Amino acid sequence: MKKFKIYAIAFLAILLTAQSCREEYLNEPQKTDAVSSDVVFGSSDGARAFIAGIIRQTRSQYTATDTGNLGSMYFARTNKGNDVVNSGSWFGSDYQNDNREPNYRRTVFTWNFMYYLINQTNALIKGVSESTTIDAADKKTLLSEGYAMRAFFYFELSLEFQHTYNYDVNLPAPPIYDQPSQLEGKPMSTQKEMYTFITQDIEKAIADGSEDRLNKSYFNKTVAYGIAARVYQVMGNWPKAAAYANAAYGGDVEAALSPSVYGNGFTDMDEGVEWILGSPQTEDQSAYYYTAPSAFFTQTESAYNNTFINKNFPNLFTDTDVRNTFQQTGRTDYRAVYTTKFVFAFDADVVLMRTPEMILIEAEALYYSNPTAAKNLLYKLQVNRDPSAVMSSNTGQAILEEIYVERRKELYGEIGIEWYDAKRLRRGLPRDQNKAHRLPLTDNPMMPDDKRFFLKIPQAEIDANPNIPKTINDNR
Amino acid sequence: MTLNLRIVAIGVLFFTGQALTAQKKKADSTTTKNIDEVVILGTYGIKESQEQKVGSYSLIKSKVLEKPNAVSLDLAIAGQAAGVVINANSGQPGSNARVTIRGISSLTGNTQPLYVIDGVPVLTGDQAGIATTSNALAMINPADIESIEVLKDGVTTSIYGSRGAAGVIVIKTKSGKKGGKFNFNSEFGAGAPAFEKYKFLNAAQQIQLMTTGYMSQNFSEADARQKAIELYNWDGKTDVSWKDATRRNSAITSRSNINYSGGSDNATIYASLGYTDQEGITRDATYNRVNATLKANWKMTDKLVVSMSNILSRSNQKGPLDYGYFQNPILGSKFINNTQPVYNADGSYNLALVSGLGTPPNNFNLVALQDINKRKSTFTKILSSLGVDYSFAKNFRFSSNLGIDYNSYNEHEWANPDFGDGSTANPNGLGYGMQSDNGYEIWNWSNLVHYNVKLGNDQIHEINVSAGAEATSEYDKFSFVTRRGYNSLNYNQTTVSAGANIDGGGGDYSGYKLIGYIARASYGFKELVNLTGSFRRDGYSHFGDNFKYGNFAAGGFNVNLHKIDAVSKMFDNLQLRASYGAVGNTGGQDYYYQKYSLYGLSTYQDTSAYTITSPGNENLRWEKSKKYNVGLDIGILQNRVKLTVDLYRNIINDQLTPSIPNAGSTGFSSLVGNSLASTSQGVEANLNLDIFKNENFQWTLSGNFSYNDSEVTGLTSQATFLTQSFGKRYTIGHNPTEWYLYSYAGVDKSNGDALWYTDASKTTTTNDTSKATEFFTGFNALPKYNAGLTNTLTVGNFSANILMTYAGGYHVYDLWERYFNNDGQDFLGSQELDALNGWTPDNPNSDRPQFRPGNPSSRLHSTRYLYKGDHIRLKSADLGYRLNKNALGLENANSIYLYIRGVNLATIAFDKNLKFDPEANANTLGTVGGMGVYDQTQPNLRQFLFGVSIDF
Repeated sequence: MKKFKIYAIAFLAILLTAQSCREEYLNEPQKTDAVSSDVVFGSSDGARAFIAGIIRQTRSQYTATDTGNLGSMYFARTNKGNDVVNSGSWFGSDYQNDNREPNYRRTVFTWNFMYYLINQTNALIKGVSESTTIDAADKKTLLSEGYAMRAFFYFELSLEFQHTYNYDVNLPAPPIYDQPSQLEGKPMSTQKEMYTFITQDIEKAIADGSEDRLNKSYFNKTVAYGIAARVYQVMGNWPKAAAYANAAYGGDVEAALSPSVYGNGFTDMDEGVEWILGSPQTEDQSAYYYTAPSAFFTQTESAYNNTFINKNFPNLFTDTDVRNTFQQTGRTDYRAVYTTKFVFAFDADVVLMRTPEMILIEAEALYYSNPTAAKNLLYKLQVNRDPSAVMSSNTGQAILEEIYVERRKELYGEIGIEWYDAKRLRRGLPRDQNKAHRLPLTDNPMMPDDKRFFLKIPQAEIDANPNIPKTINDNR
Repeated sequence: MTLNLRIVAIGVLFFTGQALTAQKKKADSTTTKNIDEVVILGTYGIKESQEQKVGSYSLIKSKVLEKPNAVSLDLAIAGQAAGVVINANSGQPGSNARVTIRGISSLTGNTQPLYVIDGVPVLTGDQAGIATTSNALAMINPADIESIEVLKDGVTTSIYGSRGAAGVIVIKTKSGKKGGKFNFNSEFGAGAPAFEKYKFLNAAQQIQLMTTGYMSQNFSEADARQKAIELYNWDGKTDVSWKDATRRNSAITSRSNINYSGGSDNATIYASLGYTDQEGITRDATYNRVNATLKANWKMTDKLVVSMSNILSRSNQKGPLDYGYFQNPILGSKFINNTQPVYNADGSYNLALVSGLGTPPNNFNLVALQDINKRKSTFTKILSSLGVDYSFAKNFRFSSNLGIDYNSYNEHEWANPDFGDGSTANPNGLGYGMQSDNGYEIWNWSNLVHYNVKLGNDQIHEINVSAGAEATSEYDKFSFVTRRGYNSLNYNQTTVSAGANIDGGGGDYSGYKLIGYIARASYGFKELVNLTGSFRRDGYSHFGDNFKYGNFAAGGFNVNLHKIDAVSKMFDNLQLRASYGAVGNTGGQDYYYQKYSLYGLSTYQDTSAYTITSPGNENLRWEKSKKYNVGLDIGILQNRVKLTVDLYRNIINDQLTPSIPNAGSTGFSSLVGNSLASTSQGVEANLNLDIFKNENFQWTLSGNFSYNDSEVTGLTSQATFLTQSFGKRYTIGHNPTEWYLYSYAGVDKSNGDALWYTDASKTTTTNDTSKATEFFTGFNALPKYNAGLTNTLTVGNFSANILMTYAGGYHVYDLWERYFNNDGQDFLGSQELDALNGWTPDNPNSDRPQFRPGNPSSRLHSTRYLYKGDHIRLKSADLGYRLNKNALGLENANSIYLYIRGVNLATIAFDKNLKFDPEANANTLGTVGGMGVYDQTQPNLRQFLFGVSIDF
């Protein structure tokens, strides 16, 4: 029996040994290519790397060629207008203005992609706020970048999922999350709540922001000004729109423009002084063929090559305008004209915001208080682009119209300018009928306040979010 | 007498450690009844006699494995055990297999049973990185296996806790026997596809088809024919079957094993050396393996036994890719029609093929690719275990088993820069070389104390208690590098280093830790009634803190009615059993680290970059399978007639799911968690008949039959279905493998259009594929019925063994046939012969739509490519003759056994239109959703082998 005791004790010892180290033992396997939030927010460098990660995701290949990144969002808007022509394939349904059903890739992508980025930004804001190791000054800059990005993503989201702000501020808008990883879906907000949230974020970003940045893909104070100018432009808050637009380009028109590089293909965000925000690309870090707009506009490099220019559009440009980059394809149908504005390469950067847009926002905003000043400012841009430009004799509303046209001439292909203006100005978006288009939408042109200016709520969201009514898409 | 024998048997068992022991009285078996088989059930040193059996398991003996029907042991036991369905992924030698025990054990988690070899839970599954399919179990030589136990119900598997939900397969290798004996076994044979009924157009017929096609576009017959000839650039005489050109005439198999078994009263060893070489049917498919095994048992004292088992194995595998790769010769050869020559007139490869495989210069001359490109995998395995069995006090015994399974997988792939996959333009240059190095190791240590006692008058109370702990640690790593930029026409420099530019690379490691506490007790009263209960508590490193530990309990009882005198007159065995057990499933590698909220690391421009990859799930936990089983064992006529019937029902809840739909607005449109539920239920029966048992004539018939049906019972809270690839959608109330497809409605006889149904009631049809709808077909991919029947005959010195298998109640799908059996959408490749019978104005009663070149809407995945899979197969048959020593006049050999045998000799398919092997549909996508899909993998082989086995 004595022997038994010895062995029983020995065995017990084995068990106890296992017991005492089991927690450590079980926690031993740790992932090697990922870290916890403690590491990320343990230092400014960690938080900076997280910001880099978020920006990298804006340039990603999220789901498909036409639903990959911020560039594809903007390019879908470009396709909805009158100035460009899609010859089929990618973005064809956007061109058709019917890519908005609850199960469609466009709808699901726009929603999920924006919220994917919003959640990352929420994690950034929370993590930096709660960090005990990042010093106060760094926190300010980091947070202001976070707020600027969040305002930007919510603003883009709001444009896609409801009428414009001024249509009815009580309409439902997408849910607002201000904390990360809240895994139960939230209810819809209202347009008013949404724009209150966006303006709070962007004002915070401006208040604490810094001009320093690694490169032009980061959301520094200048970018925050630019976002604010866009937001207040949509809201019709002209004094603020004017002030922030002015701050975004610096107030000196000549110094903010580089007409000589306009024709170089928009491939390098550091070429000239105009780029405020862009997505840089390199050979080994690229959205590759998901790169919109260049992979689609180009007719000279091998890519999708499926986007042409409405043959009437070049008539708006003089021969001496640096922006006159139009070429003839030799075809006689809707594919007669193309533009060399965007040169495609894997390392071609993508433009998201430029100073001329800000100059034109300021001009538009000034119009409401000082039409002459608006016209003078407009002319400064016009003559910069075309040295032989003559100031127009327009007065009154015609000045505004001239600004809108200038916006198309300056920014076409970049941010979906026609769609953006038609939507916020509550105008239609009719297409030219003289065989300029593959799909002229003769019987169903885009009318003012057309529902096709926004997307339906994704069915997957409705199915999985207990706080969104099943009837949300009725009458949308 | 029974009792005494068993005690002796148990004594022996104690001393042979972990070895399998099936003790039978050697002689005069006809006069003794109730000689019980006592097995050490499972791997924890727990013994159980037939009379103590409360659960359900199948036992497969070494005989089946000495002349295996496949290179890997899991495939070699197909048809041998009720409720166990085994399919090869491919006819590629060394391919992985899908083994399901009692139906679908998990919808989205791991469905692979736990395999334990000599106490060590080993690496299983498909380890292929570059190779198409590489079965980790193929590294074990089936000839070295003494027995395989398939543990199926709750009470036998629950003791394996979190890993046993898909069943447990316990493998014990051979031990030496007293004395000294060599055995040499060698066999050699050849094979060809077992079942393959595709018929394709020859060159003239290809031209004829296209001529008819162009005529439908209003060309005159002469113009149409001219256009067809120009399309293929046909010289008027070439007629090459690309299928034949890419295959061997016959695939050669050779296998040799030599083993020694011997020892003294106190020490035995078993040693073996084996070599297997098997070709696949395509010219580039080979497999060879060298095995060495050493097993030793040493009875150090009356109370202490030490055993050791070592398996060393190395294999080389070469083979093409399967699936939709152009370079897959099984598929690719269907995309090149007979008008295309392999070689140019000067003997060089024809790289100007007109085919469905891309256009020149990115040309896929499959024969050239087989000759030039490389794809090779080398695997090494070391499996070693050490066992101690110590009877340290009266009625007490301590058993310990420490084992390690080490695997190294090295693979190399090279694609030439001039044509095929390597010729795709890339910034890093043409050509492609990749080398990968993967390692996997697992160590396992179990320690148990057993207490076995018989109490009371006549020892009517038998009590067995075991308790202990087990720790498992798994670690795997990979690294790879790819280079591009190879020199044109330089086909000897294929190493990775020869590529000019680094194209990619990476490496990582991961692993899990598991700790388990085990307790088991059984009580028997007069051998009449037995009760067994077990409990296991597992801790697992990848589950959330709230659920890191899981408890798994089981219980069962039986009544041995034949112990009642009145019953024993008629029944040698009449046992009723019932059991329940809860078993877990960790879900496998897909669920590693998912409990954590993590920031993935990458780079952005020149800085490092983090991105949130998952919100983490602190509630991640075990899938639980509740297994219910009732069974009946009958033995009559001195046990010459034995019947076992089991009914079971498994309820599987909290199934691990990689993608629970979630509100995208939260930032995560899907989550990892536990949400699905399903059930699986069925009946199993085994019948064993010793029809003749004379000295010179023995005939045994043993059969098994099983019925299984599985059903989805729970989805995620919001979803009404979950789409699964391919052609399935999990819906409550449906079998998870039920086909959900567009339904083909044949031809519109008025105009030759193809038609599809627009609704499940099949009342309206459409010729517009965008208006066709998918719906449930009522057909499942997993067979409902399976059966195996073995005839064993011995007449004098002749012996024969015939195994037939049956699978029924299921449908299989040809994933790629839509490309070579459609109505004109694909005309650059070949088409099935039946294309000639399509609708034309002159042939308006055809049951096949009109062939129209460029027809845009004829390639829809639909029931057109769904076939009944039911079949009967003559799985194996062998006939041998034993020459005894006297007859030979040999002094050194004790006996020589000569045999011929065949594998997959005949297959009767119930669907006359079925074109591919209904067993070669195993697990295309590695998931339940992928079941029943034929992926143009290498066909299974029908083999004829000649062999000799010499004892000396």
